[in-house]
Amino acid sequence: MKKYFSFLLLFVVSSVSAQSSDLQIFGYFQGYYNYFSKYNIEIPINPYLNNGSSIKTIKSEAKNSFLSQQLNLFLKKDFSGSYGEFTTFVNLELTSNYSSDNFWGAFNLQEAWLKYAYSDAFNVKFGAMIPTFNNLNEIKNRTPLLSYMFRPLVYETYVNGIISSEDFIPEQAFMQIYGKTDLTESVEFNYSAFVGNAEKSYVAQELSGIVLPGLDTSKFKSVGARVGLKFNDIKIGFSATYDRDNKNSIFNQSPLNSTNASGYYYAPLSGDLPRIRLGADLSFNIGKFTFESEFIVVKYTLADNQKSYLSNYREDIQHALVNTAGTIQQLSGAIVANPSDPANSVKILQLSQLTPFAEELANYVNQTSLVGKELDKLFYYAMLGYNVTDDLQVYGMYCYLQDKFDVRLEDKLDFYSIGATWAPLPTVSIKGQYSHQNIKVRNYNLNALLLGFSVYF
Amino acid sequence: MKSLFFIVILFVFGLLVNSNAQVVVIANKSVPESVINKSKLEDIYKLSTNKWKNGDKIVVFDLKTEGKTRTAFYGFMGKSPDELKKTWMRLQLTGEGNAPKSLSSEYEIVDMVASTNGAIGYVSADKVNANVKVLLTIK
Repeated sequence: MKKYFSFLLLFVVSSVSAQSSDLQIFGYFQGYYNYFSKYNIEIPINPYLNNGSSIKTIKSEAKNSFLSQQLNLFLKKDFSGSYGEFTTFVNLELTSNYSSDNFWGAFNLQEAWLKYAYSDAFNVKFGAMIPTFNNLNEIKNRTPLLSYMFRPLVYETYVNGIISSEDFIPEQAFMQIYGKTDLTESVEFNYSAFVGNAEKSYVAQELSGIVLPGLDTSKFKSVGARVGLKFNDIKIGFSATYDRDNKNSIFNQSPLNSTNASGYYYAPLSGDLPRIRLGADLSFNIGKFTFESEFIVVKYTLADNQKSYLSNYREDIQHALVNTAGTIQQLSGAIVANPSDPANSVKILQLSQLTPFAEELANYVNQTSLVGKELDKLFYYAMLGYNVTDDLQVYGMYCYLQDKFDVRLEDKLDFYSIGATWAPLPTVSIKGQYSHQNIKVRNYNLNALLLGFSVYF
Repeated sequence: MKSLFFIVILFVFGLLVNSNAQVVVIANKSVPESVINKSKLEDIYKLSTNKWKNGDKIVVFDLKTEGKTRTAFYGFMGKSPDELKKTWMRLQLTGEGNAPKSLSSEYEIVDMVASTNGAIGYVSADKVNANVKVLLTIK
């Protein structure tokens, strides 16, 4: 009893001595007008599935729209007491003309964490957070801090249909330790390390038994770290993550793994692929120039049978469909040619099994029509800005992207951008940006123009 | 007439003295440091250092309005006010810090520094009183 009393007393004393700041509410929003030119993209395909042509052309018409790209609201409160200093931080994000009435956009709890600051050299955060990886990841959504609107490709949600950000950068963590210390008077060393759930595809989408939507259903977790040096306004860092990429739909849930009806059969393989993302970043401000750059390479560890399966996958599944369709055609033809043949009942039974299989294959061919021969990826970008005045910056940016898992991107995608940002107030930025993307081997060219503003309040 | 002339001379002299007044970095008397160098001052105003050597939290004050004192201070640090505001904005938006409180007058800064533990600010030398300590004089 005495022990409980002492504990209670300690709690009361620490509560009394605790102090807290006012609750801070702040945020920002960005809106713009965008124009995207029309484009074609040519992808190779089995000629039997494309009216005899080995190239399938995907076309898109020019588009333009006004967009309230995002509104972020932050709640922040600092606490301090005899146990040290704590900060709690909540980031609510509404994106893409959000309207629940019209089913537009999304409303996300982007971040909600509690930080304990022991010293400059050691801090720890718990909760939903965007982990540190390279220089840009943590601030990729903080539009008032960015000169550009169309961000370096792997950070840009606009291209989510083509490039999955999560394939290149970690998007969420649950715990992170970080800190910094001076090595000399002008050189600072900083570090961070995080752990979080596996990638989104492992997270439950719907209620199933006791598994709630949003829970990680896998036994895998993501881990990562960054170490960096800062010398005056020059920052350099190296980052790495380790996790699993969920490719089960290809390696063990494909029609190629279920039956030999098409003449193509592979025993199911593990689709939980070990993945390492390695990053490096360099940024500096010298005089009127601002420079930022990042390099990301994504490496997978595959066994020989996994490599061989993947390198043939796209052709095999297309051939499987061609074979199955051919068999169906033969059987149907034979039945029509000789309707009174007693063997027709067997053929009809075969047809009844092959037809749904062909449909399943066709679905898979559509879903996986872009699967490349390997998984490794490479991305880098560099941006050079020039501050014409304190309020006006002009910049140019180049991005290079290669994703061998996507036939559109297995060669390379080049992205060029120029733009200007004028800040009549430190909290208001008016932005303009023109960008051009091209993939030479796929005959793809896209021009984009964005005009917008960002406000911090 | 003579006394009027004398008053005018005094006034003009006073203006001259005032216009050349040095800017000083002041701190609350609880702050253990008695001097500060430019590099440390930059770290404090960039919010990359947030504790004094005794572990007390550093509370930074800034001048809201443009003027000779503010210009001299930022000139000494080699940063523009907008540059520092961007740094503060980044820290604020990532939850890693709070932008310094900006006050309207130098007298307010002296009062707030004098009454806030661990506080630091800058004012012209002629505004300093005995309730604060001077860590650095910007010439």
